[in-house]
Amino acid sequence: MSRPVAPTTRKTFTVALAGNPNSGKTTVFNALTGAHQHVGNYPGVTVEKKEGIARFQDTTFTVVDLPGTYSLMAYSIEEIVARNFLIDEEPDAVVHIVDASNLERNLYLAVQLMELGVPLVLAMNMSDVVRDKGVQINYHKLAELLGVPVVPTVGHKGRGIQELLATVAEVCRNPRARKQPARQVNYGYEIEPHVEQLVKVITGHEACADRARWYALKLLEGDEETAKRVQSLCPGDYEMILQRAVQLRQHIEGISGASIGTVLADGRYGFIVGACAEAVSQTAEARVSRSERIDRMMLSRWLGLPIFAVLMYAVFQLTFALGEPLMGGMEAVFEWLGGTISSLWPEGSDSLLKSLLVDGMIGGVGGVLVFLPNIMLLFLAIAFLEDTGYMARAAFLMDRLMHKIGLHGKSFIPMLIGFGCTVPAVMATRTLETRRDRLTTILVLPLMSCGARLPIYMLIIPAFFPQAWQAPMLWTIYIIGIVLAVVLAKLLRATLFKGESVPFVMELPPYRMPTLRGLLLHMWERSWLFLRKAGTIILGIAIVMWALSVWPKPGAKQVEQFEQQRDAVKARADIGPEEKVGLLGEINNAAAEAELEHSVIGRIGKGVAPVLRPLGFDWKTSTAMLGAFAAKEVFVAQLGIVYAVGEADEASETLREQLQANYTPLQGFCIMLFCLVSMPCMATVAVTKRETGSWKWALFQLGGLTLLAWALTAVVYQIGRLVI
Amino acid sequence: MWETGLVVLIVFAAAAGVGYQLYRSAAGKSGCAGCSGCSQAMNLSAADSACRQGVNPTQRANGR
Repeated sequence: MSRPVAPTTRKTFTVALAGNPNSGKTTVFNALTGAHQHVGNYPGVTVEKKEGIARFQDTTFTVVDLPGTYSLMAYSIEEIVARNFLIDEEPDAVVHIVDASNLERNLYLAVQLMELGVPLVLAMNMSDVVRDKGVQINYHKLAELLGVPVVPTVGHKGRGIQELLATVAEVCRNPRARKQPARQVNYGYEIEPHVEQLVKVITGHEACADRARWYALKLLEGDEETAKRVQSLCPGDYEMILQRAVQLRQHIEGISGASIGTVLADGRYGFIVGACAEAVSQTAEARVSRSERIDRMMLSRWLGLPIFAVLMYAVFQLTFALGEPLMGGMEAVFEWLGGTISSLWPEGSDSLLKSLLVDGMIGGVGGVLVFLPNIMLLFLAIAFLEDTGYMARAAFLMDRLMHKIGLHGKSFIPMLIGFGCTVPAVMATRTLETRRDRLTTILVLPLMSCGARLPIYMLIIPAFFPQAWQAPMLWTIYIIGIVLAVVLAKLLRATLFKGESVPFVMELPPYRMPTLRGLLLHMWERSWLFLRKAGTIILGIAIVMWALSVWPKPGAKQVEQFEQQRDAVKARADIGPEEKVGLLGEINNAAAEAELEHSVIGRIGKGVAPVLRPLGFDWKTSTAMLGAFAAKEVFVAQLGIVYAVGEADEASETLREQLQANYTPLQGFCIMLFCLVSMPCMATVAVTKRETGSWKWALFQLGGLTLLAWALTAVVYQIGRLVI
Repeated sequence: MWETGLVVLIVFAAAAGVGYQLYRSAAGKSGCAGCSGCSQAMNLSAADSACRQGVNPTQRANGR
């Protein structure tokens, strides 16, 4: 490729006209060249080649009218001829004549031209027909979204031809001087990593490097013409590249349950539909596809957001309704496991190893793992919404909402990822072009309720709220996070980060029926992450927390006091044996509680408790909050340990029952609210520092969110106490 | 006595493991605590797939 990157002083350029059949290409060609035409054939084929001369000011263009094609797929000889001309002859500009009255179908070729990386100008032909149909196209916006110049034309009346020539001249003279580079279709997280892998392999060969993404996509599609070209350009590694492409194609087809051609076409049409939804006020397509019919309802101005809210509610309802019996089963398994391990020691034994295994490991990690069924169900439901294509609509709806409050929709993509984990979500903000967009998004991302907080909600909600209220409560927590994020982002954009947002196309792929394999795979991948985390870092922290909960042991004087109390009860003759057992149990529990309060955890908790008391938290929940800084799930593990260690009775109740006995529903809600808003986990702070390049923003986020959480929770708790 | 020794050993091993993981996380050498090191801008399932396929985390920065 020898395309000039700096402004050129040349006065003659080659311009190719591309377009669908019947898009008015010949009319525009005639309008551009007048009588200066000659007709021949492309070398080796009987496809007509028309060339003409056009002049604009002091510049002369040799205009080549390419055969009319719908795509660059190499299905027909016309497509091959057009494609080869663009790759081999490297025209200085390519003008794509778009039938604007049939926009979506015509833009498919435009997207492929963008992928090919040619210097592109879009001529929106038949713009009068579009207007007559009552359709409005925002050409300026479309140009911004696609990253290529767009000029409305009416070929048969010669309208817009001078503007088109002026734009072409500008592109020819300075092809890189466009306001923004042409955007690329993002094929989504299932496809993009594989495309990137192949691009990396191809980029290693200088001859293919400039069009590496194009070659990668075509090889994935199994395009034989491209395969031949790659073979001639990089003969040494051709076999390896082709083999890699075949492997990746098989993988993608296996996951998606559709042919690679369909998958990539869906991606391109998704990009086009997204762009048109932004730039066209009424679709010009006479044909109403199934996806469009569904979208009319799903993306409706009035119904879109309520449908989104109802769907999320249904997901949470499913999580609780189906998950409850399974969770009960998991609790029974861990109770049985704890009982079995306890039975290895004599009854009443104060063995440290037994306490570590039962109170520390099973009480801690088991407390987190019992929620695995709920989490798997939630992930399954989310995978279904993603794989059907609905999640893209949810993002589009939020994009529209965010536009209204001055934010940019692209920020919502990291936010969606943030529902899984904040760390990759912070990194996903790299796709935002401006620093102010990035910083705003990063700072509010922890408010998207990540998967690690789910065990906290799963513990608290069933403990304090009746079945009918469980799904609405979880829904409310998620909505509070989203609303707070939006409000805070708006505040930040109005104060610290003022400025305009850059344009962005939200892809809207067609709806499709997901495959069972794909759904189960997605569910398992996420559940496996949860399991792995529980089995590694959560287990480690649980063991450390257990140690901090049992050491140091209380002094001999305190132990002796409890011993004397026990002896006094045993010596009493005025009460029966059953009453004695009850009193001894109470003393044992008091002794265990005193031991816990004497431990490191107890002392830390007592130290922090006054700060969190206005929020309704006691010292036990306060220590759990601190533990959650390492990882959010630790909150549940820590509470499990504290209540297991602080309870002498081996046949104790479940953690949920203990919470019910010790806290009110208002306190339960406040715990969830504080966990949602307060300090993000340590990994998030670290990644924020790394991505912003400064501790200032990481600490601002940490301190700001914690202060906000404190204030908000205190207000809710104090008002709640007055009302309830 | 051996029980106490074993418990202390387990606790120290856990503390060392947690400390190492948190250090890696804080130093930006891995993403989430407990994650095996794929700290790129991917959603969970993509990150996990990439980890298992042995993709070097520094190879990509595409977040969607």
